Amino acid sequence: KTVEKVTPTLSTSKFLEEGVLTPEEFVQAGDLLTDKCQTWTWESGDPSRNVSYLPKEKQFLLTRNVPCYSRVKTLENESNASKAEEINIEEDEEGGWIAPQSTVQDINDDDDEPDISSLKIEDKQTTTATKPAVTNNDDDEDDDGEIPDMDDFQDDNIVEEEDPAVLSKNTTTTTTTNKESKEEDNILRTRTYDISITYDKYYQTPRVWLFGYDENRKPLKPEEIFEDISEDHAHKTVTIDSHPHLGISFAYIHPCRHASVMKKLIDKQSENGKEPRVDQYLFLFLKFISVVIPTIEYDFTLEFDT
Amino acid sequence: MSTNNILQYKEFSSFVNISFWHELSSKKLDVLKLNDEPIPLNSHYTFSPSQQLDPFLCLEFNGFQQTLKQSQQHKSHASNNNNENYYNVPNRSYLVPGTLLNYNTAEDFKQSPKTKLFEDASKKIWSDIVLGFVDKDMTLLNRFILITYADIKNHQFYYLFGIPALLPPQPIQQFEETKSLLQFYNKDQIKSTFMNNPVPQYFYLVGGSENEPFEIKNFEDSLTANEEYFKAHDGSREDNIPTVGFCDPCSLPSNPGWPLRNFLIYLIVKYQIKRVRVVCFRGVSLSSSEIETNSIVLSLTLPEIDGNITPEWSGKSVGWEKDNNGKIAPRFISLASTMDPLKLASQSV
Repeated sequence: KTVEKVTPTLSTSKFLEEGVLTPEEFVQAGDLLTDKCQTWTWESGDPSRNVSYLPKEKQFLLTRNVPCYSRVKTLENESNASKAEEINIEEDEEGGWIAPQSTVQDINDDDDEPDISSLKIEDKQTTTATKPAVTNNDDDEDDDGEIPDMDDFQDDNIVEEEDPAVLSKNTTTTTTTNKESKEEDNILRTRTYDISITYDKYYQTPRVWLFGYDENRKPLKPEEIFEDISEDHAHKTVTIDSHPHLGISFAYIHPCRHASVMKKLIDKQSENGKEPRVDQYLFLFLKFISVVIPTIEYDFTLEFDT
Repeated sequence: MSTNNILQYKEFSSFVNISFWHELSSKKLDVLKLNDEPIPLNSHYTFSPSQQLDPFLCLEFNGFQQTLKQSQQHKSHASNNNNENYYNVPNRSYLVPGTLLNYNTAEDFKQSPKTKLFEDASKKIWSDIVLGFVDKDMTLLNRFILITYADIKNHQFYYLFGIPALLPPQPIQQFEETKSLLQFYNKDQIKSTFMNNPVPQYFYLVGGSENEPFEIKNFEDSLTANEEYFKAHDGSREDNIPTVGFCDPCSLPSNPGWPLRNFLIYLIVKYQIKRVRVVCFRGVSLSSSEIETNSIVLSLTLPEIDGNITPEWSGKSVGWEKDNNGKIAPRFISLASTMDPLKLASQSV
């Protein structure tokens, strides 16, 4: 399809010099990401919010339902060493942040394996402290105003055939009492995130947006989302704003330092004798973002060293 | 045979992205107003990377959009003609069409003819099978209904999902235990069959003797070819058991997901198969080792459907979404924290 010809703010590449992207380069990098990591897709979003400097069908990148098995706190307790290092560097860099090589590697030590493999059946002790809701979770925590009595909405006329072929989460055997069936539900469910990447015209870098859901697929509140953002970044670099293509409020990672961090990573690549490629920008970028959101297990696998 | 051999399916869990509720609110205000006619919706499912993630039926902001194919079929619906935004199913995801019934009051919601709506959806699946529409469009095997009451003023939504599965006359039995894909195919076959070809939502496998790769046949490609294959492979003998497959949103080690249910009914009705092997394809990632370890093979005995098969469905179906206590009950979600302008203002930094 024809890419709409427009005059963006930035039209000549300053990728090597400043670590920033033109909209065309963002599309290029997004194309490679969606090609190599098929969990990422291009989205067009709300048509009335389309921006003219990006193709209509490539307005932003999205990966859905990314599992997030543990809270950052648990992870940080587990790897104090790498955290300490991160803090050191943090101070060196006058409050700026950079992805320390070792930390990145700690988190995803084997880049050749798609990181899905680490998600498998193994008993993760760190998994979600929250048990699958034992009570009807509609009655709990929400501070969103009056919670209606759902019994008022109960329609007793719906009856369903008892079906021995249904393996629902609570009925691994038929005709158990409620109490027993709850105990049989031994799969812990996990939080998920939708992560999207938009092009930020002002900073000329990608901008990362997070939207989280709890174990029961209810939206996470901002303070709960902060539990999944590394402590050093949580209140410094993450804020809430309206998503430019969806119009819903999301948490986002503030892009003010993205270019300088990317510049450092690109320089490092050059020093190591690798030629930085603008179409691989997002792989590098997502690798560094994983320091900010270490427990959200999104895919950015490419055989690739900095 | 003992009841222990009954094949058990994992139900879908609905996963409504909050962007859908936003879209419903604005549609309700600007377009629907007090109209409570049924509205077509689209959702999708994909593979589950982990047992901790249930098979999700995902409904997003674009759920009201039609696919290109759907809008060509319903050209008469003027509302979609100027709208160039078609519903796009994401990579490695599969379309599940459905119907929204949005009521104006809590009372209407409560009084809505839910059982009838569910039966209507079941009947539609059945008649699409019998009348041959499924042959050309396998996505018609799965269908959902969503019954809602949107309390827009308070940003609150009540909703109930039904994803009907037609019940066979008797439960379907496994004649062998669930096996891993590697017990049937070697690594080379898996690699060259599943890695080098697009895997359609529903398929069958042809050839593959002596370590050769299999040919993946899409059901939608050629009805004649399908008929020939299932005539030669009706599962009446050990050596003519057909091998079919589907893209499975479930990740449990011995149970398939919901989209297999109506597919098996289709095979019984359309091809009168006695036994079948089903590859539950789980293409979580592009790596063949992932496919090998996650995908499973089921060996099933299929019951016969007695009597004349007519487009009029008279059987039973199941598939209302249950709450955490296993009860069929509406769910409730409040989005005041993401929709209420006052709350938003207090959050922003």
